[in-house]
Amino acid sequence: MVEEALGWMVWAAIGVGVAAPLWQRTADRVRRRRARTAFGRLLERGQLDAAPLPLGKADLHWASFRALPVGHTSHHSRWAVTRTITVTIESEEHELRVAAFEWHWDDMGQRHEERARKVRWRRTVAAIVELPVPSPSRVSIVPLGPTDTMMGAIVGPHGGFEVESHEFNRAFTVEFRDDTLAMKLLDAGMQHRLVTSLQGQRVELDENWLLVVGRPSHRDDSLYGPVGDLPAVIEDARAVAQAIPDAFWRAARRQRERLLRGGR
Amino acid sequence: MMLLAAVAALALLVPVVLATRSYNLLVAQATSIDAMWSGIDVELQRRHDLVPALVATASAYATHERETLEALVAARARAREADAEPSPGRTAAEDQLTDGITGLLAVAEAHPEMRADAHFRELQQLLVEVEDRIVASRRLYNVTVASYERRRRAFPSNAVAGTFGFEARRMFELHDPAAAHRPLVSI
Repeated sequence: MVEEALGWMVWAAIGVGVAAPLWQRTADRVRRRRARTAFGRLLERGQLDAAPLPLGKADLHWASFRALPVGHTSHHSRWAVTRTITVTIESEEHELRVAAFEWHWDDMGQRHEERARKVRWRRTVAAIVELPVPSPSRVSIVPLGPTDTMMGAIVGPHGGFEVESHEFNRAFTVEFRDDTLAMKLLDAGMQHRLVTSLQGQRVELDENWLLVVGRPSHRDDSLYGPVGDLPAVIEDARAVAQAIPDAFWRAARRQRERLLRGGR
Repeated sequence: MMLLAAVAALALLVPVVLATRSYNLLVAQATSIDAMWSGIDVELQRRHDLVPALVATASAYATHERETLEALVAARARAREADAEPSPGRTAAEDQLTDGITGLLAVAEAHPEMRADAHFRELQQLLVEVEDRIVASRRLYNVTVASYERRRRAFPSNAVAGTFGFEARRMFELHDPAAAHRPLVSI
């Protein structure tokens, strides 16, 4: 009786071992097909164009930004779309190019034995805006994790760069080379925008690019999976670009003028 | 017995560690506040230094605006003589200078040839750049003062602040002039 039960258990284990990968593969295929269909429907709306490369730059270029994880060995973009957005800068309207895509990278975990490694693909959604003038230096606004937020509530602020908004200080940390420039960027309007609409998203300004990375503030549920996030992340990026204060643009313009003159 | 000794040692050690941490943070913040104030002071001096050049350029065009120009020169003199600390007197003097500069730029609005002068435009852009830096530095300074004051008053760091005589620091409030003084330049 026991032997018979054991026999059934062995056959069941073998069955699960064979069926699970097949099920996984079929499910992946179905997901990809649904995403392709959704992507086609998104393009049919006529507001976005498919882009082989986000803003004409290879994945290697975007991987140099801290906001986009490079993974252990591999990373790539998928479902890239592009369009033009209108942003008012110093009372003038400017047309800026923006691209949105899903970003994939591999995560091998902490185990170092070669045989024990199992590649796990992670993904996020990103939008990149091409700025009319380069940022004088890199500024990165990084959302704090639940542990940081909890510690902040117990032992007080994390002690780094702070702005006037307590909510902002609890939700984000800021990485920068120039604290005055970071302060120019994070005026009251930008603080409000980030706290109310972009909690959990990472924002980075470097050279000619503004990156907004992470789950967007909303999504289009009529489009399957990551494709439903693309229009929303573009809208979030446009909102951030619009919230960049004039003082930041003036600093950027002066820096560009100095560089063009050959000065520092 | 050993356990009791360990608990007693821990009970002594924890307040010492907390007090040391509070003391070091208060020292670090007080030092930052001094350094930030020096930065603001330097930027305010730069603004003072721009005024004579602005007045000289303006006087070539606005010959009938002597009162405005003289008021600006007097405001600059008062700002230079004001306290070297972030006091209400310094705030008032700097705000008067801001008003004086706003008056000069209003004069420029009435004289298109003055607005078109390349040197004047360059000075105006420099002025706005300096004022942008003043605004940002002042906000950084005030945020640090607020954090320092929070620590100075909160328990248990208020005991450390009281024991070691950490004094209250004053915020520095100014009108934000950069937006009103900016020239219209396309990116």
